[in-house]
Amino acid sequence: MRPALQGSEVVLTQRNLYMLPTGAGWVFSGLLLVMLMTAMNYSNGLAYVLTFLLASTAVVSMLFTHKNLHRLIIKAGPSMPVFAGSSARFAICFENKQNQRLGIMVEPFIKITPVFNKTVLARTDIPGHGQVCVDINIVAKQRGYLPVPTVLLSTRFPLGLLYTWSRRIKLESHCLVYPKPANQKIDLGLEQLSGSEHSGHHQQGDDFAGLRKYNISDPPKHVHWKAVARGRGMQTKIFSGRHSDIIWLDWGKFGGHEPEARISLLTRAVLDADKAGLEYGLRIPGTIIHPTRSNLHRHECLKALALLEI
Amino acid sequence: MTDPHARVTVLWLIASASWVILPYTLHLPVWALLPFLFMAGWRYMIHAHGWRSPGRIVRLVLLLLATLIIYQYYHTFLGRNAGLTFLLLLMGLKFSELNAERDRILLVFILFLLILGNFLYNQSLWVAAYMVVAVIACLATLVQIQQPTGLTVKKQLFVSGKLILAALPFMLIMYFLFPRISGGLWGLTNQNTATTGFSEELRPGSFSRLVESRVPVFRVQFDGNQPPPAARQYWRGAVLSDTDGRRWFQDKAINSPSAQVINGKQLVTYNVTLEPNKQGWLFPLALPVNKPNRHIQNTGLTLKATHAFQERQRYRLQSYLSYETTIPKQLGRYLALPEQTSQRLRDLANTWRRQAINAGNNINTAIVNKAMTYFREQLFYYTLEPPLLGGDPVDEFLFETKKGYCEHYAAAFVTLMRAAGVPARVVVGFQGGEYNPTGKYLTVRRSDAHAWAEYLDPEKGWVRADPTAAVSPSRIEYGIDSLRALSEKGLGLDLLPGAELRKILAPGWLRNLGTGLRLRWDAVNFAWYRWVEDFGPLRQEQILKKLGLLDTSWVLRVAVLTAIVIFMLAIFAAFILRKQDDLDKTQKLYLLFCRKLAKAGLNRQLSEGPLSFAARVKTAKPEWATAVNIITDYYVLLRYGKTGMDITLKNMRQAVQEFKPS
Repeated sequence: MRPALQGSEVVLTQRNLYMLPTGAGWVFSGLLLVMLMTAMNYSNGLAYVLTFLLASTAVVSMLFTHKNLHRLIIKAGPSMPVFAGSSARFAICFENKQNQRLGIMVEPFIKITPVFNKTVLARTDIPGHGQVCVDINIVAKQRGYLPVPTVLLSTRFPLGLLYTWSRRIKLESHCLVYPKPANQKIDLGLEQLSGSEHSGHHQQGDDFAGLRKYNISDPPKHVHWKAVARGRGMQTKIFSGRHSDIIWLDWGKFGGHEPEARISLLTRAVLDADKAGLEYGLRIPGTIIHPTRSNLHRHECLKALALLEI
Repeated sequence: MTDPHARVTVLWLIASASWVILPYTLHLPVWALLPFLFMAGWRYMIHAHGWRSPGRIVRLVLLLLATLIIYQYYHTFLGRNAGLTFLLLLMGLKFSELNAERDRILLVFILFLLILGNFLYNQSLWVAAYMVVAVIACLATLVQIQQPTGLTVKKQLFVSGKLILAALPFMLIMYFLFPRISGGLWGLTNQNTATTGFSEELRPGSFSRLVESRVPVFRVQFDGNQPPPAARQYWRGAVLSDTDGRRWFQDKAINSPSAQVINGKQLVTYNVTLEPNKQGWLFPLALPVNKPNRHIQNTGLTLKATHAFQERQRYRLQSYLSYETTIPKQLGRYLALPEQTSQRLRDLANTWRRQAINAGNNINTAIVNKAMTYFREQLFYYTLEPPLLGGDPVDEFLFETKKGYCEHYAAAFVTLMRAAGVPARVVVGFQGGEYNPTGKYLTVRRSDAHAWAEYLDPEKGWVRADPTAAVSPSRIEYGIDSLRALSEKGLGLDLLPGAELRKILAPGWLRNLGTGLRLRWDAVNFAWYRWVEDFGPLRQEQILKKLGLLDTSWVLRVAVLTAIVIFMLAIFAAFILRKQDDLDKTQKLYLLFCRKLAKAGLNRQLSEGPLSFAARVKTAKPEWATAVNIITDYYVLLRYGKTGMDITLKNMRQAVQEFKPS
């Protein structure tokens, strides 16, 4: 079998498109035979005309069907990270530099002749000189990177008598799958915090302690905007706060569990801490992420957990 | 089952099916349409009002019922009528089972068969035009089944029309090169009743009026296109030698050629397309030389097939316009007179004979000339509405009424000749015809029927003599239609000098236009007949001959055909799959806009985006602001937005084209 088309962008050409008649196409050829016999038997000129016209239509529809996929550009679209166990959504985008294409189907690659395949992942029409993306949903079973499934494109337009399909396509794109968060509630060790002074907007304490270089994950409200306005570049204000607002989510804390369960628990802890508005750091084998709090930080932590190799 | 796409598909199917089966009402029992009307109605209600589909048992019972009905009615399932009626019933019943895509496609396939079935009844141009619509509708239905979204009705018809247009060249190649066979495969061909061409009997005085039928009997194409002059267009049918005084008929005993053509001159070659004809007569020009095939006998210098012509026939014939023939050994038959022949007729003939003998020379020719002079001078009158004649029509016509048409003259002339001792006989056939300059052929109609005579010259054999020509030269020169035109104007025939006659006969502009259109239409129909209805193995040979493929096996022909089709497909593929300019249409339009501005001195910098460029242009030339705004907006919208591609591209083109900076 020829290798799959690979890359972040794939163009379909004559050399990687195939064609066979559909079931209806075979019946149609039988029909033509019956019509030809009738024309011969009755020596009927118009019957010959009709038979040959329909035969020619089927012949030229070969080209139209082929053209429907010819020179189509396929690209991977962006995909959002998901948690293991939920459905990952890939976008496959088609760029069309020619006229409108209709009835383009995205099929999963399975090891039988595609003609017999009945599953279609997505079906779309592509406007002329335009672009269109289709979503493909696949259940993400494991944490880590989930590659785009190997697919192939096919079409039966215009008459449904012929089926054209492409070589299988393996786009260089993947979806990040966060570990599945554990179900049980995690003891974040918040009872260490004395009193009830803790509240969401007191995350970092109130006392201005100095400036440091801006970090992309710093919250905008801590940027020293006045300095920016004076042309000194981006600087972040540091506030001195109580250490008790910062927690460390430590690999060692969940010693009694299996590694995957630990990851699952830590994932849950990250989510809970984020939800609680805490500043949290992550300490797992090979990676230490210092405490802070932002969406990017949350992503960094979950990504580290997702890709953790044990 | 309330899927709107499925509803549209069903409407397409109902519309296509209605169009296809409508012509069947002319040929098949009307009850054959009932299943369709009933089931299509039910199907519509399923989709429009959520009715239930008929169950499997109902469908099975209906199918059995249909089969029984066909057998009861036709006692067979084979043959054209039974087969097509059955197919009609099945098509109707198929509407009860349309849930799967497969069923819908199958229904369209049945419709294709029914389109073909129509051609077994009628192959005219009209039917073909009607069915082109049917084919487009059926293909559009297939497109709709395949692609329920994204296409308007117009676009669907456009797609199927495009397919058919692209298919046409392939169809033509297959049509002309696919090996044709002669005769049917199983001999189930249709049995049309042949129409009567002309009469094998002559009964002058029995009909007071000639049938004025403009139905064509045959058409002739001459090699070299130009037909011989009208006065020489005698289309020979039957030879009538025997008479009982009232009727003239052909002698059934003649089975072998009674005379041979010798010393022929002025050979003419031509193709005859003969309409169906019960008697199997062919109508060669003057005297035929060849016998087109073994089914045709050459008797008495005439051509007759051994069987009736059920369908149109084409023959290639050769004739001599000038000829001599051998002289038959037994002449008694050509001198026999009926007993009732009147004394005054015999006297008149004897007078001529005596005068001719006295004059010496060629007695027979002299007698014929006497007769011709007699007809010309004795106030004989050519009319299409002669009086009815009694017991001795020849005598009555010659001496009393003196009014008649070709039959009267031919019969009287032959009787006179025999009375004068000159062997003679009547020939019936056609004279003249209408030349069609568009199609370059001559049409001979029933109204061109004619009767003339032949007498035996001791040296030249059978010689044609047309007494009608003596009485009414214009009948021969201008044709029967001119005589009709004259008598409609209340003018006597042959009373006017030639020039004046031609002036009167010159048709008005309206009639001219009408005649022109009629001739053209006839030419179109005739061409249709030659290239579609009559295109069989014989005609195909002619084309293959030109391609150098004569006498080749059908395997080689199919191979050549396949090679040509593949070659054409390759060319077509190269055209349809050619690399289109990657710069899309919007971009091209925008660049055109920029070129226009560049001419006006405003060049877009490489770093400049469309919006900043527009801003600069507006500052420099505020009077162009509106146009620049519109074009830039269109461009940005089309290039980076998504909606309304088709509509706004047109708008942008218009805006750019209308933009004239100066």
